[in-house]
Amino acid sequence: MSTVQISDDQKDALQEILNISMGQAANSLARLISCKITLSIPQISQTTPHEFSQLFEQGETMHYTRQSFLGDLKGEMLCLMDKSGCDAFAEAMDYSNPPSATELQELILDVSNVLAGACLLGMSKQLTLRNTLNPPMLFDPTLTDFSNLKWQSALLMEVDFVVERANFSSRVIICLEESSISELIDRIDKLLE
Amino acid sequence: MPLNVTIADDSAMSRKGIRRALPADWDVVIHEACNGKEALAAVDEGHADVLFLDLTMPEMDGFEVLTYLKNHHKKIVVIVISADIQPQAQALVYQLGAFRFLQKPLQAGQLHEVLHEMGLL
Amino acid sequence: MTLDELFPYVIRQLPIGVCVVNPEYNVVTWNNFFAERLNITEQEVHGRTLADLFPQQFAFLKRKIDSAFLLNHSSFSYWEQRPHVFQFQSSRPITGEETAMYQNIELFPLSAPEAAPEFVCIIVHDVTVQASYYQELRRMAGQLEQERDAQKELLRKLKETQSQLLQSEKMASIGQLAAGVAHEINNPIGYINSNIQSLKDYMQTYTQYNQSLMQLIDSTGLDKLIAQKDLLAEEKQINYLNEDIWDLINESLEGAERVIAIVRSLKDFSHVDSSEWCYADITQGIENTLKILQHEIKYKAIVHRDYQPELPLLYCQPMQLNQVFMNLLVNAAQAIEDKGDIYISVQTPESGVLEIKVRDTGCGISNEIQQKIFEPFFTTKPVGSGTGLGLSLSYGIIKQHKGDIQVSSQPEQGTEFCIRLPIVDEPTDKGM
Ligand SMILES: Nc1ncnc2c1ncn2[C@@H]1O[C@H](COP(=O)(O)OP(=O)(O)OP(=O)(O)O)[C@@H](O)[C@H]1O
Ligand SMILES: [Mg+2]
Repeated sequence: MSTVQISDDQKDALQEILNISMGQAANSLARLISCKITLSIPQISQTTPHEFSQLFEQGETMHYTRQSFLGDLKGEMLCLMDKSGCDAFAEAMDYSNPPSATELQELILDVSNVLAGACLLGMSKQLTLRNTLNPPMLFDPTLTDFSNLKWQSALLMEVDFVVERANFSSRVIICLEESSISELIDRIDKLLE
Repeated sequence: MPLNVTIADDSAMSRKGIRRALPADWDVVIHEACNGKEALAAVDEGHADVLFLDLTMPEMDGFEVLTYLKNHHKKIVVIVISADIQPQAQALVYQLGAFRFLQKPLQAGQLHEVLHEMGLL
Repeated sequence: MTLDELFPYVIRQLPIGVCVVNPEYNVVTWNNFFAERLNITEQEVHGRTLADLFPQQFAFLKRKIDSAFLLNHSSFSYWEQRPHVFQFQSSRPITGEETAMYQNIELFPLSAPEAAPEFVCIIVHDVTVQASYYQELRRMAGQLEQERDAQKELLRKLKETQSQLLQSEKMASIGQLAAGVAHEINNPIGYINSNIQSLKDYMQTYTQYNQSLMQLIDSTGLDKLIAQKDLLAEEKQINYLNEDIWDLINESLEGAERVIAIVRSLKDFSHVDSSEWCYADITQGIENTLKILQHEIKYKAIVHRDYQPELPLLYCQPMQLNQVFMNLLVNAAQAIEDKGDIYISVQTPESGVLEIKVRDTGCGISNEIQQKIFEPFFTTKPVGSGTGLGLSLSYGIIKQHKGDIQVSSQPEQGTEFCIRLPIVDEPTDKGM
């Protein structure tokens, strides 16, 4: 499928690095909302545009944001948030109850910014990479034509965050452009030496 | 007689990292476990005078291992080395009887300090 | 100008807002963008707190600043959710329609490498142009959507009117046909009926006369004559004829009366002005309808009636309601494949409400279809046999009576239509 092959050792290392960055992300969020957050073990996979489009099959039940990053690695962060948990979560973050539509949007953008920021920056730091993150934007996959994506393969790194007390769950996906994959693997190999 | 030490972590890189961070002159036999169940097996076999324990692991996670050890009154020195650094996780780990909580990525200096403090070196 | 002087100069002149604050929310410095709009110079603002400078927005700014310090990375605010965090005037005071500036804001921590952040820098982008362009677009999209909805509604109405027209045409032609037939049959059946009546009277006289003749022959005592008379009577089966004549005449009379009754209901049914409002007896209407449908129902179903005694008259359009009964009864008969029952009940379950139920033991209606049966042109019947208008029209008529029609059905068990009509008085003010 792809020109770049990832060995088991590299995958293990990447998973651990993500684990650490996600841990930091969760810690950031936990301190903001004073709730314990449960983390999943990171999933790493290479994907085709078709497989990628299936990420959005839950459609209307989710809120989506995207946030691009530049620098040594290039790609986008996606954040999927379960709609049903968002109200309870808003309460934990001191929004009015129930939050207005714009308050909810603001909350979604804030949360995804915190999670995505901590994930990416944590990863970059461990791998001594430099990256800058652009502002997050709300994303409506129903308005996107996934049959027309211009790439062949991308690397996805996914982690689920669950705030049990608020019944809130969210998934952060780091999507890496194919050209950045070899850069990432280079750095991992250096770390594994 | 050398001490028995078990490193329980699902990531090979992490286990290698901890192995490397241990003092070179420390007289120990090192065992490895890839998940909570293997860690408990190591405990049963007497391979874990000291247990370096990760929290997020498949099969059985670190919290479950600690709970088991506490319920069975196992006197084992557990040092948690985890990426999950939330204050709530740390508090829970201490409640469950861990001796220390160390952040990933592990810093060798910190580990040595801890081992000194606890008189293991 | 040296290179060292150049950079602060550029920052001062930048067309975006730059404001640096410390963890106590005191302004360390800001550039001309802020200074000019608030009339507070870089020197004057140094050390003043945000709480004092922007009291209304302080809570929000504080949260964002805290988050940037705590997490050590940028936080953002967008015009879509918070258009005017800083109360700046529009950048187009003369030509623009908007009065306040739309802003996107980024707050990023400033720190030496590997250290905790010491300051947060607030960057304000003036996005008034984009925002009003975007809002204009959205307004237009909204307008388009409204127009599209209006068109949809228009189309729906058209379809409805068309279906009503079609159905009333159908009813009108049935009505005309019925009226024509009734008229044509009325005269002949009239004289058939009166002729048979006369025939019956004549026959009575004639048989009396015959009997007297026989008695006369008997009284002569002439055996031969009497024997001849008896033989003749036997040969012609006169005794049998004497009996059967009356059966024939009575049956014919009954038949003629039935025809007359049917003709009368046909005439009632095709009443000229079918939308006239008046007080009417609902059960009478049902009975008339049943008579017309007799041949459709008779071989398929037994009709069971349950009419509450002394029902009040209903102020309604009786002919329209008859159409409803006809549609329901035809549907019920059509739903029964072989033989079944039709139950009709008319009650006043509570005061002010008349409830008419038509239940059949036919094929029933599946759940998926139940919601569609009142739609115009919905039919499950073969092409050419059903127009799918019966129920949609009935629905319209019941709504006109401010009533309600509902269906409940079990597939394979049967179907019940329940009509509830308010019992209202004739409105006194006709001008309304
Ligand atoms: N009593 C009933 N039992 C079973 N199905 C029924 C009954 N009444 C109505 N339906 C269903 O509802 C559909 C719509 O009925 P409607 O009276 O509007 O039209 P139609 O009977 O098909 O055609 P038309 O009345 O114009 O001859 C029918 O085709 C039939 O599927
Ligand atoms: Mg019908």
